[in-house]
Amino acid sequence: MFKSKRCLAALLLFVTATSCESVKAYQRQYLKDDAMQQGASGIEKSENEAFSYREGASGGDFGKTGGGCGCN
Amino acid sequence: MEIIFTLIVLLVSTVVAFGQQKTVKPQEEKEKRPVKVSLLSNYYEQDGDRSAVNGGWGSQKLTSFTQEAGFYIPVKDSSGYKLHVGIDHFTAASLRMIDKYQGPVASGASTTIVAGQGSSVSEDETRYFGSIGYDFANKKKHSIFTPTIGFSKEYDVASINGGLSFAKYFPKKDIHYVTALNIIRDRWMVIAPGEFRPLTATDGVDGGTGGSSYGSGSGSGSGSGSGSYGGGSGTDYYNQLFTDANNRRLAEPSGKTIEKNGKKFPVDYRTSYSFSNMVAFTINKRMNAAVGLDLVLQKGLLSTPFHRVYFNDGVHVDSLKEVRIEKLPRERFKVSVSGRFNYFLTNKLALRSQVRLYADSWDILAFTGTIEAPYKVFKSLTVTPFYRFHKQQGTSYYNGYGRHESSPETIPAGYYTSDIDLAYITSNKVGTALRFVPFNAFGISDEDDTKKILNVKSIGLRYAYYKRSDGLKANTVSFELAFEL
Repeated sequence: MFKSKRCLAALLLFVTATSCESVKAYQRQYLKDDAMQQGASGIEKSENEAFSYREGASGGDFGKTGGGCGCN
Repeated sequence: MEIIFTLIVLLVSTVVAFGQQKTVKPQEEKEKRPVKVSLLSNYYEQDGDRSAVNGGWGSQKLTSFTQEAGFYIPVKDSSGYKLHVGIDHFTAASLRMIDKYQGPVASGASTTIVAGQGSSVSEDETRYFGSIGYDFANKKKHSIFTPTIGFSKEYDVASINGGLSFAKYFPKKDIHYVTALNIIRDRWMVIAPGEFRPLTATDGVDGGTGGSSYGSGSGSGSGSGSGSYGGGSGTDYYNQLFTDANNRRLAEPSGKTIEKNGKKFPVDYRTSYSFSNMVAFTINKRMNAAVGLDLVLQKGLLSTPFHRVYFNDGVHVDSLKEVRIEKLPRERFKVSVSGRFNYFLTNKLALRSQVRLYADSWDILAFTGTIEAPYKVFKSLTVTPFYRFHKQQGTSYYNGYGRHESSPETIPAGYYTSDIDLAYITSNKVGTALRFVPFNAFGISDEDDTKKILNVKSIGLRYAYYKRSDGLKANTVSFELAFEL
């Protein structure tokens, strides 16, 4: 249904095929931008936590895995 | 409570600010790092009509208001304390349906259910949570090791958690690696739906009537229901939480109880172990990416004790219909793989994307994709529209209201739930975020106006609209203020 194997293969292909070039410190103005940071920001995590209770496929991505939610 | 919480935040900020000024020697001012503070507020509301408390139908109206504060207090070199506290207040229409019957139900009589007007078992719908950690940084090795402990407390669940995380930067390869291990231990006060608990004032494990509207026992262990499924004692429905699909005993009840408002409730536990990994790398001066692998193992009480499940017995009157408490396995293993890709398209426009694949031992498979487009309107203002798509294949334990196969057994074999969150669903979320980052120093100055004692680093506002395939809709607004002292 999800073609999960194809998605996983595409992800691995992307990682292995993408060539990385060395970036000097003075060339990093874009990489240092907040928009380029990996991971969710604090405000995004706060929003995601509220929605994580509504989907059974939550947890396992640095998010909530246990504890009471107080939500039904 | 909110005023007290705000005062505590201001007090801690003030103490830390003055503390830093008193202990810094003149020759160390160059290396002085500011205290970082982040204040977050989130408002969430939802509405739907597939409440699991009522077996898959009924109001899912819920509002939640969360306030959080995060502090980073530098100590020396690159090390420092991380402190996080928060309070969450919520109201949920479905909580009123836990005890939806107005009183004892006589044999053969039907009871009019007044939606949302049943008594509420939980009289305090507020959650408090916090955590503290310490960054042990090693500049030479480009690594940070962080142990953390935390807690969470609400009416029926108390949790403690502990974790270790390790972050390492490889400068030659320009690769970041982060790994984290977390353990969460929840203690649940097992609150079954009212009709499954004894009818006397001392609810709990001491027998009583079964979960049938025909039950008529006393609260001293001699309950004898005669409902459409043979009735049973309150102990039977509590003990089902510790059995497998064939009703074989997997674990022993703790035997502990908690007393609240003159009533006793049994106790059960849930333990969650999570192991998370992420590798982030630079592709070129405008692109970077990351891949992650996360594993979660959960053991113990994984069902929700006050969720009902109705069965296909051909009866159409809710109060006379065959009903049980939700029953799910006491173990669950989850795995997710994710990938992120960021690209600065032009000098003002970037693209952020994430893909996540998920699978667990309850047969739930899921795909989630997110895309964001941060656009710098000005140097200091960024607007970020975003879209998220989620699709999941539900667990085989799920069936809708009144769809589970009828059974004469007190505790039918197998696992069963009518919680739509575990079913086949798709969802879409759209929204926009605004982020203001002052270009020049912006905040509160000292008396001489020579330096900032409170320096605003960013102000953020975020709105999202969420719609799910079963009709659930939600809105959320978040606000963040980050500053340095």
